[in-house]
Amino acid sequence: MDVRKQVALAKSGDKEALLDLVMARQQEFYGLSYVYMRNEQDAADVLQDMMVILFTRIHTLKKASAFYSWAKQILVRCCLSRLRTNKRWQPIPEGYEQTTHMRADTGLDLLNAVHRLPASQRDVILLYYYSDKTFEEISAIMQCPVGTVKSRLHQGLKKLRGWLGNEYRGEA
Amino acid sequence: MNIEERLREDAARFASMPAPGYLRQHLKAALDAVPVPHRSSRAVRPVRKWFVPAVAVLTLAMAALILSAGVDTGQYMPLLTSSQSQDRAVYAPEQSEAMVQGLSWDHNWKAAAIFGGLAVAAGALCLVELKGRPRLLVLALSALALLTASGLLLLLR
Repeated sequence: MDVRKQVALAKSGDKEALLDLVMARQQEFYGLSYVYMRNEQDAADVLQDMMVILFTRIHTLKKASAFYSWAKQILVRCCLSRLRTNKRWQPIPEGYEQTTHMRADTGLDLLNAVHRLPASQRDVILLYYYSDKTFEEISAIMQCPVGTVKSRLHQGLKKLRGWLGNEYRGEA
Repeated sequence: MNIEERLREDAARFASMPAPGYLRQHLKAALDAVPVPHRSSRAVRPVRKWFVPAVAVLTLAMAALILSAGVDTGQYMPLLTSSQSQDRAVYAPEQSEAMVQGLSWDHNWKAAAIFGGLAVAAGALCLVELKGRPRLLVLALSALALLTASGLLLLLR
């Protein structure tokens, strides 16, 4: 797929072109969204929010080649925004225990543990490990100094080690 | 395995997570609800950073010219009315008055020419930078025309 051509079409108002662009990497987008939302419905809903923003703001995109990183940045912002506004308790989704990363013996899993962290530490860990963002990018997204980002990451990891340390020790 | 490695492994696992089959329809439904924004075929380029300071400098220069001409005119006028001038006028009244008027007239024409030049430069700048924004262009040119007209009137009165 010619990304530049598709982006040009999307800029001219072609919705199908934008849809094709996103669907070409649907796994990446969905996986990223799922990491934040932890259930299929919310993940799909956040992707809808992202699509609307992409469509209305695509004319501001200068480099067509940067479309995917730009779109992922928007997706991350949508996820963080939804997580902050959606403060209601979220049950562990049905069927989640069937995923390969679930630890059936303890009922604990890493992603759930990350989501148990305070929002600021959770966001940093999700952005750093699951979204592959650099400290500078995280600092820009979260509007805080790089030092604060590092400190939150350190504190978050420390808590995770405290919760899960014994379980993971010795595994390889 | 330490926690960092585990997190990276987990992230890789999620990155290859299969999307639900209905995702395309779901996203299409969201897009269908959004009206196609009306945009001109050529995207409007943002105004360059130097545009506003440049116009501000030109406008200030025009204002300074009007003020300085006002001060200069003020300096010439007492020449004609002061007792000193009256005394001098005893020797050559017509010559002195004509000379002062001539000086003032020349000075004002020069100031008006410079003022006009500055106005043309500001207008050209607005035309180049605001050509994609018709409303703003009309507004800027109208303000500039008003300023030019009043400035010239003041300078050549």
